[in-house]
Amino acid sequence: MTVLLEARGLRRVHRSGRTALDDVSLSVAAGARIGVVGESGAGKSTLVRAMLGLEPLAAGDVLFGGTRLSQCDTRAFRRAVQPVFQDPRSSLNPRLTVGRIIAEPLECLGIDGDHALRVREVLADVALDASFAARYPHELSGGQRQRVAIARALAPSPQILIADEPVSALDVLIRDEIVALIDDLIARRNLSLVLVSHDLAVVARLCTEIAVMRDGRVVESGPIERVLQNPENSFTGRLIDAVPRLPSVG
Amino acid sequence: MTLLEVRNLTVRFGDNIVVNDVSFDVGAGGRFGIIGESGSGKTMAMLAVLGVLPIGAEVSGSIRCDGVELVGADEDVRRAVRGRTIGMVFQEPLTALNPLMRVDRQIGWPLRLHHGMSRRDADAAAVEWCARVGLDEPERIARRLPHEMSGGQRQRIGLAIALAAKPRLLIADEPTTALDVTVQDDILRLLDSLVDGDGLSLIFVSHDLGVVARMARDIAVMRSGRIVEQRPTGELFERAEDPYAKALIESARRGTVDLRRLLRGES
Repeated sequence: MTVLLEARGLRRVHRSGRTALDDVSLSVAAGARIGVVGESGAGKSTLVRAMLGLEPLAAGDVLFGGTRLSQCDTRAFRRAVQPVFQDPRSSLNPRLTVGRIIAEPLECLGIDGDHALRVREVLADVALDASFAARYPHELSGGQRQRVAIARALAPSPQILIADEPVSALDVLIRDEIVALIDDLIARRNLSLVLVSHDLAVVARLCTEIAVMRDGRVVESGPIERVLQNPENSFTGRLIDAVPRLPSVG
Repeated sequence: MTLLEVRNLTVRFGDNIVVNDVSFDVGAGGRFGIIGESGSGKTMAMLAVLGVLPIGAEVSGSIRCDGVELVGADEDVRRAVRGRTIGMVFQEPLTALNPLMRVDRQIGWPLRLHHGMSRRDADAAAVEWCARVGLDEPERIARRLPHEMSGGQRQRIGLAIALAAKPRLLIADEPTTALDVTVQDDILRLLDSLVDGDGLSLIFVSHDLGVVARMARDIAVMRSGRIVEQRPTGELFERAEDPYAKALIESARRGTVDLRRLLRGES
């Protein structure tokens, strides 16, 4: 399968001297759905930020379509790889209407076409009606805000969605809806997904591959069934055992 | 025997009713769980039990702890209960702990307050507590400040503070929500052993049904200030009737369907 985006031997050292990424590689093929799991401080967010070209690296390369980020067409890269962050309250510009927020990447990336039409299309994709375009983020619920964040990411028709804890700030019932929405959009648009989550249940619902991170390294990765059923790394086993079980119905 | 008896508890701020006609009992050695979304009133109900509601709150109904009525009681009466009969551990130990005070002094404070212990004895007891809550090198860690510890270590200290004065009821309000799952697992195990070991009663508050089901034998589902359903844990999962309670259970099940399938054969 075609590899769209690749992290190769990434190393990121903070000014404090702490190593946030230590020789991390991850390859995102067309249509892949990869879950990145681990505890806080493991380097999950740093990894995906690096893959968005947002982290200065001490070593290693991020390649988009086989070309290093420093040498590739930035606009094409930005258009193809879109982020969704954890907290839509802080990731949406409070001064802009939802319509402007969604149209912003279209303008910044110089994408031609009827932007207002595109805004209506992606709002429909996330099941918000067109009237939302005139509203401001503070008027929306947490779930609606996250829908807007997803609509914004979809607007430039990306190939890869990079979602960092997209549902962990939401109440459980809303969380369900957003997970189902992401699942549906990924399938319908044949997108690749890189999902950062501390919640194995969410990863199990959305992903087919998994990468387990600890202390800045990927300690185990592969098809999700193989990794969850026969974890080779003891930390992966511990992560699985720590998931609370529901009482079974008799 | 009933240790805590809450009847028709209502908490309002002006016209805003945040806890609405809530009643429940916690028996000696009982484990009571409260589940609900943010804003459902679960924390406010617990603050009412402790008598530490924010200014402006009006409380009505009855809260009897060990036979003593707390609603409308003098602060002296409440203070004698708070920390001594009822201990509490909060969600975010970084904000619940005093950032300027060594943790041994924080653990020792309820002992000095409620049991008239000397500072020296309280310090020694604090070190013992650090060991009991599973901290390595208790002598060293007891002298630290909260910011010098990890989140899991801080929550262990929070538990030590809550339990030091030997309360009979522990209220744990989202005690593991801010923690990683493996650390959550460690803290829940610790909580299990401490609660069982001392025959404590427990009220466990969380938005996470899986965690509440693991810790509680009876569960109340709260929404918009009300208890919409209350049953023994197993029974709740089998025959909840309230639509919201059913939706929560359904969601928790659906949410883990794929994980259970992947982990093979777990129902």
